[in-house]
Amino acid sequence: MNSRGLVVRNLTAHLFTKRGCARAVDGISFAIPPRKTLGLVGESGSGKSMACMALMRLLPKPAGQIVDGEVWLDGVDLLKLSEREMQEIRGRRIAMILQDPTSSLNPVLKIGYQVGEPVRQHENVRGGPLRTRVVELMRQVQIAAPEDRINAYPHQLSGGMRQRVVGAAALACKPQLLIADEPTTSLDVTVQMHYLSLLQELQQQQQFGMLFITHDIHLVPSICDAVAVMYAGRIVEQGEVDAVFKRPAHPYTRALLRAAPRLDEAMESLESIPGELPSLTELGPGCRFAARCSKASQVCSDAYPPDTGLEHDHRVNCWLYGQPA
Amino acid sequence: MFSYVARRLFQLCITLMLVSIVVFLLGRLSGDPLSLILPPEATEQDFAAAREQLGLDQPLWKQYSIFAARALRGDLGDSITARRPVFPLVMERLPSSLALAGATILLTLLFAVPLGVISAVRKGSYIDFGARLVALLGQSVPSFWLGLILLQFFAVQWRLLPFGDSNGIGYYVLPSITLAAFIAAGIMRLVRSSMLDAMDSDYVKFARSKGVPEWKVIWLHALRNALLPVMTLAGLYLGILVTGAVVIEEVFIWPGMGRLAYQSVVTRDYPVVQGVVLVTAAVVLAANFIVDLLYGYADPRIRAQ
Repeated sequence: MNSRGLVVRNLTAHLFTKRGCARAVDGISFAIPPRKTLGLVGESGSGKSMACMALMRLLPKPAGQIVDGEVWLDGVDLLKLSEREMQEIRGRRIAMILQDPTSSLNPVLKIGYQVGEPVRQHENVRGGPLRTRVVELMRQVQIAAPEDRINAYPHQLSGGMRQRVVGAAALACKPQLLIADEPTTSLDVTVQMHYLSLLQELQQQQQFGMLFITHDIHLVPSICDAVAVMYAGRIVEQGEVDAVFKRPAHPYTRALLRAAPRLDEAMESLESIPGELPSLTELGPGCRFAARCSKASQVCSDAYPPDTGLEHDHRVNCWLYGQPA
Repeated sequence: MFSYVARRLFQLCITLMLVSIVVFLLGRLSGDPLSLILPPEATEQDFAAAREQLGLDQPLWKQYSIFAARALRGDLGDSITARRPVFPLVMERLPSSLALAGATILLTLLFAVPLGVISAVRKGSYIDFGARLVALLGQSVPSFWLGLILLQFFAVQWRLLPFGDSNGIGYYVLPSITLAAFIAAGIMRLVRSSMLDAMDSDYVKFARSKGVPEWKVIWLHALRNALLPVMTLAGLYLGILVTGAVVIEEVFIWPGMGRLAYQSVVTRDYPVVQGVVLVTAAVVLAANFIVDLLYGYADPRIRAQ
């Protein structure tokens, strides 16, 4: 693998719980070329966050385990690195923003310390130079009066500010890839857009690739270059944003697009998707969406649909497009 | 921060006053002290005279105000049996009790915190299992029995350690181990459970995602948070140690407040009992006050409120 950027192949991560083995991430493949953004979309519990944690190799121990696959970052398979080498990657080459800034900042440590931690760790900068760097990082995410705020504690900042601080910490060492796991979900609607445009601005400046995770499919076109739709641990459809949004192929993608409200289109009513996610410990051989799919036939529950190419890089896993073997 | 301290200090004074009222009333309810002071052949007139002389014929509120005013000046009356002022009698016992409590807390934190952390980090391992078993034993074995056993082997049979006094480090070993066994068990279990919570939190995930090495994640990010509830429990235990060491002090013939309390109860020397209870209450409150201050220092969210 000599291609640049992130290439994930057949990543499979299971959670071994008392109730059985949950196939939370079940053979997903995607690529994020340098400076590009991939949106990973799916409803809660579809395995998006587990996929992120698997990429970072930070699955909850001992239950979560990566059982198969490859994660290539600029030609290096992260899954083959030692824990020590992986730790050098985290925060320096790949960084992460979690959903809730209130819980992702440590309540008893000062903001400045938490922002500067990756720099201290990876670049061995201390004292005055570290301080200057932290102030600069906080200014970059538009924190007012950063010289004073470095001595503040998380509870003294607003939710939006906290998430910007998290962003500053994540981007402190100029990583090539940022994993943003629903970064605006817990923010007030008024600051969500502000945060997203800040994120895009930083991406312009620092030229990092991004894995943008969201359950809100309509955020995707303004942020992402490509999109992957995840359902029950699998990616069911992926491709360029234009292709997927103009010609959604998988019934689940179509349902998602119909279920989310849009501002630019008058709609009489929103549609919900009947049924719920299947239990990840009791998955059959067939398509996981079959039970909720209006177009399902017998073959859908008998065998998993093949990966079918539609046009360019638009791919779908659905029997409506693939030929039964 | 200042208002936080002032508020805690005010609460402390009110509590101390309530304690003094309770102490005073309990003293009056525990039987007539005159029957102990006066000889058996004393007449009704002797009783009346003594009652008047000791101020026991006055109404309760008046007795209390005299008691409180004197207490504020450090005058807690005279011991009936020792025939000396109570306050110095109690105060000369205080240092060795405090020293024993301090040694016990130190010993506890030294063992219980690292063990609790390791137990949480290696959840489900043999170390975790072993540590929890020892904790269970520590909490179920009665302290006086453990004390007697330790005394029998280490002091009497093998003559490895001294007992019966408090001058010298050697004297502290057995009683502080005995007391720590129970307390360390509770602290260790609390450290373990709050560490498990902390290790599962988002800020630990985020710290790891920044490339922070695991030892720092455990001992800085997680432990700083996990120790907050532990501080409260340790403060409570410090209070229990000062008072609750009665039996252990008796077992080890430790010249502390516990033994003094025990002896004065047995001889119905109620001014001394009152003195011990008051001073103990003051010490417990002071300990809690210090813990509150430390808590405010350790948790920035408390300081702000």
